[in-house]
Amino acid sequence: MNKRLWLFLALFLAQTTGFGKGPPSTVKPESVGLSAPRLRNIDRLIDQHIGEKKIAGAVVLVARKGKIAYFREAGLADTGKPMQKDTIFRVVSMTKPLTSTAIMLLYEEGKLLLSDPVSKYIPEFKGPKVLELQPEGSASEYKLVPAHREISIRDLLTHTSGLLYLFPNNYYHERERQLVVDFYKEAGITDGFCRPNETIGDMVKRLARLPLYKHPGEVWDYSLASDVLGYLVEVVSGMPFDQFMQKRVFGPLKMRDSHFYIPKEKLGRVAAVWKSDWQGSLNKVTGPMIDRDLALCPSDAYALSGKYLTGGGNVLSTAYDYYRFAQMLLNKGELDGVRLLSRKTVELMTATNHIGNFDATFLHDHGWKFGLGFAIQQDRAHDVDAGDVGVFEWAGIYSTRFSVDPKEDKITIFMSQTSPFNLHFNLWDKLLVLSGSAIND
Amino acid sequence: MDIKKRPARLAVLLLAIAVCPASVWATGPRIKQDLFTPNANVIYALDFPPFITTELAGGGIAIELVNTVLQAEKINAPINTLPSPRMLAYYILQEKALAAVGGHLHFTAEEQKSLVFVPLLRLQEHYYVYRPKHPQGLPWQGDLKALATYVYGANQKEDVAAYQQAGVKVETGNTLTLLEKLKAGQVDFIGGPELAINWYLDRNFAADKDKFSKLEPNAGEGTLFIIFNKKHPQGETLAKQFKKGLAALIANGQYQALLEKQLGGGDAVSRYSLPLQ
Repeated sequence: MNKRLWLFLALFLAQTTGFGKGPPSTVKPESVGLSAPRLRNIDRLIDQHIGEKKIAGAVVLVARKGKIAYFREAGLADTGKPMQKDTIFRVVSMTKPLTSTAIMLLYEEGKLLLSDPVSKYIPEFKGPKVLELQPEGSASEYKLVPAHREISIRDLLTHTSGLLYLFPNNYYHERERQLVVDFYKEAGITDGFCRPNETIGDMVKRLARLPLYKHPGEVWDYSLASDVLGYLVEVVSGMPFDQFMQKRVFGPLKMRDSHFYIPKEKLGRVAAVWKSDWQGSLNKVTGPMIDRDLALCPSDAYALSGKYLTGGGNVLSTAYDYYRFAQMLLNKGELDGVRLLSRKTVELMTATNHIGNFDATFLHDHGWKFGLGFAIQQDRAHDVDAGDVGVFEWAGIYSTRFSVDPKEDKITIFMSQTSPFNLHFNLWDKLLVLSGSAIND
Repeated sequence: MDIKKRPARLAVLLLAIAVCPASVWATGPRIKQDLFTPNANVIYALDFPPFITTELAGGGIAIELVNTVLQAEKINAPINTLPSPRMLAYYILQEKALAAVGGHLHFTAEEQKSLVFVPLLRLQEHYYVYRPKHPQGLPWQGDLKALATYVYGANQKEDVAAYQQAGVKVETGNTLTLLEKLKAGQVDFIGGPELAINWYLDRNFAADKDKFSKLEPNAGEGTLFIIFNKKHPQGETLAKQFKKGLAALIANGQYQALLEKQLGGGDAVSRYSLPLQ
């Protein structure tokens, strides 16, 4: 084969695989204080789940001391298509820490303060109202009362704004929540898991004028706040959110396979979503999945373009790309000589005292707090243990997860595409145990 | 001031620094509850672009008309535009707000007794279909009974009694979701003023705007009202004053000029204008 053909092949591979120079190198686990035999327990755990048809496939990555020590793909990415290390996943809510990072970049440039009222940038948020139930027998079931204060940017980052998501209405049965969700639906607000045919700004400007569920700062409730933050990035930076992320986050961190809308040449790398009852019934999802207030449209990930750019759940990414982002956070803002955030900013993002006495119980348990974009383990006196105080984590609704353990200098990434989301908790908890128990120094 | 020459003022200044907490002297934005100064005369409007929308500088033609009359009549009443009919109903019926502005609003006969309806704009409405689903359109000649086998997409709070009487199935939603349902084949036809439908087609369906077809003849006429609340202490008085101001606006040509400025020339003004006599 002549040199030109080799060059052509090399360029072709660089275009069609995520890694360009081939899969990222891994080190011997022992060189970073991990036990190779113990890490192989992860092989068994994942293969067992695939064998039992609980999940179709997964990619797992464990890194320590800045080196990848375990990186393995298993099972299927799609029908007849094996999982690959560079398979692309809908990371959905793992978009949120990325969005928080974008906000913190603007914060570091002095373009906004976390204490700023959001209305300073998005005037529709001025003068928020809170829905308050009235005693039984009152003329009206509820009143819309002025909020004790406006929503601040910090409230959005910490999910203490009083905004809601619609889908938790399936699980939490409170009248106030139902009423606010009804307002959302009437105004055409959705969770954005089925991408609407409008801009994020259009949605946010309607959301801003609807009643809050609780007074800002007086609740912790997982919500559309990160979607608002994504639009805030657009307003403050003057750039479309996806372009900002490409230029300021994905580009500098060399997250080459992270996108809001998939480029055509990478379509074949997007994993399918599988519906699993965790009992052996595993079926590929082809259409929308609607369960009362939870609406999921996995096939939207195949759209090559669109208007909706949500900071709460739009991003498609790989295990390796997300590892690079997590490693930047673990390194206190720097990766491969590129400083994205300052040490002080990452310390602020991972501080455990942002939400006061509330607990981030949505994914975890009491004893978990919420920083500026992810949950943080404050103590170990609870059932959902991530191995160390200070571990920070978040997840995506199609069963993707990341965990950063600053004390042990360790990152664990799990990528799957399985629905419903909550059934994979047991697998994740076990994976973290295996990743932690592989520490051998 | 020359503080060296005025020791008393210097003492007051130092005392103030000592007494007041540091936060009082801090610069930069701070969030305070007193940011919200309630106004007793708030008017609530319902999103209905391009007639009522925060996307346009003046708030849309209906809001510009209202504001022009309010200014001429020296009525101090801020307008708050809402995205939800339920919120609008809440403010009018429960909070007894001064007034509401909107199209496609529906109040019960009992509720109407305490409301004063003042027409602002005429809304010539049309039905729309999605041509890939209905290449020949629908058998619409002005009689809803001919559409009995089809599904109509109605706006929230729209009075759909006539459709139900004619045997037409009805699904509800806001205009954007109705257009999406129309495209997805979940409803067969929707209705609305051409300007409103075009607003969404231009912004949200630009690539296939020409696949949405308007049916003739028109689907009837609606009215965009400002609705004063008799239960508000000044509701009836201000309704009369507003009517007088609007009549003066029509008489002096300013009403027509505003419509021409917003809607352009041609027959657009005649399709949305109130009778000018």
